[in-house]
Amino acid sequence: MAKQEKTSTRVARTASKTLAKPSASPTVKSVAGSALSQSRTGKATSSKVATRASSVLRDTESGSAARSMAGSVLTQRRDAKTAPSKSSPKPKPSRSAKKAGKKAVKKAVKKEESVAGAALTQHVATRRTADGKPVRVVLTPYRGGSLRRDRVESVVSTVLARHKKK
Amino acid sequence: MKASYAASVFINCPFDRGYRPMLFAAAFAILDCGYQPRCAQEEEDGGDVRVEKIKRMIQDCKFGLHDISETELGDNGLPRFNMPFELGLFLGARHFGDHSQKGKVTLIVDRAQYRYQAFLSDIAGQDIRSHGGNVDTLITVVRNWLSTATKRKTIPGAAVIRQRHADFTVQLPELCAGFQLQPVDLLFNEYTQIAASWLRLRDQAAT
Repeated sequence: MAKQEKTSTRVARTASKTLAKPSASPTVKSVAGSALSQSRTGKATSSKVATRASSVLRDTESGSAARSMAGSVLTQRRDAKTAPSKSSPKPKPSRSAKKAGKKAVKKAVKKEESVAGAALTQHVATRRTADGKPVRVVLTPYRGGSLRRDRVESVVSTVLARHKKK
Repeated sequence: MKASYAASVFINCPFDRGYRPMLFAAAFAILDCGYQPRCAQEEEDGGDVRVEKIKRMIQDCKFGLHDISETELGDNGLPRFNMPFELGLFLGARHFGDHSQKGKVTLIVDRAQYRYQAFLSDIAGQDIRSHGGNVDTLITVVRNWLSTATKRKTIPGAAVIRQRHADFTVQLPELCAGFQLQPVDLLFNEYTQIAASWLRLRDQAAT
């Protein structure tokens, strides 16, 4: 008997956000699309999308959002077994599986944070001139004062030009 | 804009007017070496607990420049211990911190080579440099420290930095006039902003 489960509101919201994200991979987007289409209808996951969802779960680099969508989609595949009744004992995940899952989520969060942080951080950088000579880069101060940046540049240029003439 | 941990230098020094030329010279040398100077004066938030701000800054900086030259008796007959305290925090972070914190590099400077032994003998054995209250000596000490502590090949020579600092100091009144400011009233943030811009545009003009 095919399952009649639906995607939860939380996962549907995540799926919608993922679809709007230009940086999301096509595999994750296809899983998100499937999850979203199952939020209000009784549609089931195709075997093609189920394979993709499985690959997302196996990939240690996958983020927590992608994992929860993939999990949701897999429970709604056509050949999925019905959920065990409440009376039957629920299989407990092993300690090592729990640990591995937590580690994967932690790694994904750390990666996302470092990507976001990198855009806001000036790194130690050495620029090279056309002839390959390394030159040092003057870093922007952590906090500019009350002075407007364009105004500073203009005043400094004027004073430098004046002194060069002298 | 925040620099990466490995490019940030924490300056722990007195903030009184008499020491200002030294603080600004150190900041200039750090900028010219391609690093970002950080100082407790860059943030003025009355709601922020001072020591928390300092701890945050120490955590963000791989390098620490500590000037303990003003550890002396004040008008009330008591010594000022802020600089040795922050030096202790920095050394503590290096000792007890995680892997990245353990890589912290420290430079301790004082007015005279062995003066610290009278009030901070626990740091004996560390390399304490003396600047003798001279701006050019401080620039040289800071430059040599950064050059030795890193593998960067692009750090200019001490004489070059000293010359650039002298040129900048000559032009500073004119630069300040452009913002209706007096050089003596410049705040740390304003000084570093103007100095960084000056160094960058000077480099561009030279190439």
